[in-house]
Amino acid sequence: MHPLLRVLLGPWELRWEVLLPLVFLGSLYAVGWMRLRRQSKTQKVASTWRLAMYYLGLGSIVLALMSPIDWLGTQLLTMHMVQHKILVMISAPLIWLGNPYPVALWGLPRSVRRLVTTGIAGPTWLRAGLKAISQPAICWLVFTFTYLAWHDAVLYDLALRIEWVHNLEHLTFFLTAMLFWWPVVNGAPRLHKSMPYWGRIFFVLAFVPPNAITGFAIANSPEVIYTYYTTVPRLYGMSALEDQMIGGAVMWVWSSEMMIDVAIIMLGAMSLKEQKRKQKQAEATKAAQKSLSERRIGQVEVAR
Amino acid sequence: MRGPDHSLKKMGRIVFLSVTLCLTIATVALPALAHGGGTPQIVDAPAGPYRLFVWTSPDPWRAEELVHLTVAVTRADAAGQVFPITDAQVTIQLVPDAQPGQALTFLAQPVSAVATGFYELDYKLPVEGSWRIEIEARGAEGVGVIAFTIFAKPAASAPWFFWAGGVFVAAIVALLVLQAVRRRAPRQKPIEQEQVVGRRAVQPVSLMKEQS
Repeated sequence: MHPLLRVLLGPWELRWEVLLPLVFLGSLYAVGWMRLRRQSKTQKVASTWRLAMYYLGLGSIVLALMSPIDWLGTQLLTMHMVQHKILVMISAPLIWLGNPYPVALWGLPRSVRRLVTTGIAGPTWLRAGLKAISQPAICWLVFTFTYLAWHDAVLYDLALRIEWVHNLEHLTFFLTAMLFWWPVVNGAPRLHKSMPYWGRIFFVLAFVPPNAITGFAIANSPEVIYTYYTTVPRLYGMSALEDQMIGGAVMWVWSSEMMIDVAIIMLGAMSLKEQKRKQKQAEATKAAQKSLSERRIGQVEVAR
Repeated sequence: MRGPDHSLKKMGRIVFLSVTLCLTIATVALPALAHGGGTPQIVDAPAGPYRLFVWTSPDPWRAEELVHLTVAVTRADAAGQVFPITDAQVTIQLVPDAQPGQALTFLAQPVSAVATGFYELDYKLPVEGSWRIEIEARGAEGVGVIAFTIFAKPAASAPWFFWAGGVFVAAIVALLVLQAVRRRAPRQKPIEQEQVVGRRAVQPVSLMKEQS
């Protein structure tokens, strides 16, 4: 068995600082989901597929931070890139697809639920702050800047050497990714007018050039950029430079492909919406014509 | 009807719970911070039949704080292919330069998550100053020894970073809850309503009735 595969199939690490918040959020969602389902089993807010998306999102965080991928990230840039991609390209959108706000809200005790609702729906600082940072342009800029800034050689090496910087890196990646995917998925609470589909397509495709340029530059660098990886044993049959080449390609291809896929899905949704609109319009025209012709027949009969 | 007092009590309970939760997470997170990464001290150094790598954390070391040492024991074949030594016995000796007679000896444990020739040691450093770290890797191929020196700073007064972070988060939560509660609290009617007539001085309603 290849040594990399052997490690990947190895035991997972128990990290309480990751597990505790996830268990708390998962429980909140589960209670809310059950309460909503008790009211109606056919509602859209707490559907089975949303439940699946939410738990897949939480599960992907566990995979990124507690599986051997986390350990391998300190040995191989490629695995570190894979870890980051899971957090920003899989976990964040999946959690949004689970519609966490309204469902988890129902998991709270009534008094706390009222407080949260007042905080978000009323004229509070929380709402004002959320509204300010959830503007699509701000979301895009904050995520893109954070994402690219952490790929600076000094910061990246610092994260590998100091554990709390590493944790901060993952936390900011995840939180800013949540911000980025918020207007794309159009998740609740909706503090702004929904972005039209063409706007969302532009939003995700605009991320492709900065990401691709950075990934391409890392993959094609003639020397090792992240020097920490020259201080670890090369146990998996690739040199630090080869590892960097693959890691850069992962960044470049995975993220770009993900964005293009999302754009295609949005395009599909847009055409579906347009099709439905046209169908409704045609039906309305047909009904109007029918009633008009019926009225004419009636008038003719009255005239006779 | 539940008044503002009830809301305030409830708010107090929520703030208390939030602070407890933040502090619990911060406390639980502390031991986990010692794992993974670290500052490279020895990189691919020959030691007997082996090649050793050593990382230390945190950076810098401090007296009365948990310090972490990670050792990787590897061996390279004639073709240059590197293999991990997974069954080595790694002994770490910490020798304070000020008192060489009081050396501390420990057996490093294999990193539990992965069996790839990585061994680690956690230890609460007793005193500041210069420390000589001697590492011995013993395996089927022979014995390799390596040493380096590291300086430990005096003990920090308190882990201020985590406490400050916890207090900051708790303060934000408290502010938000306070604001939400204040907006929800019903306004009480004043006993004597005051009326303003044009730009004239304000007079209590009861007084105006008496006058009339």
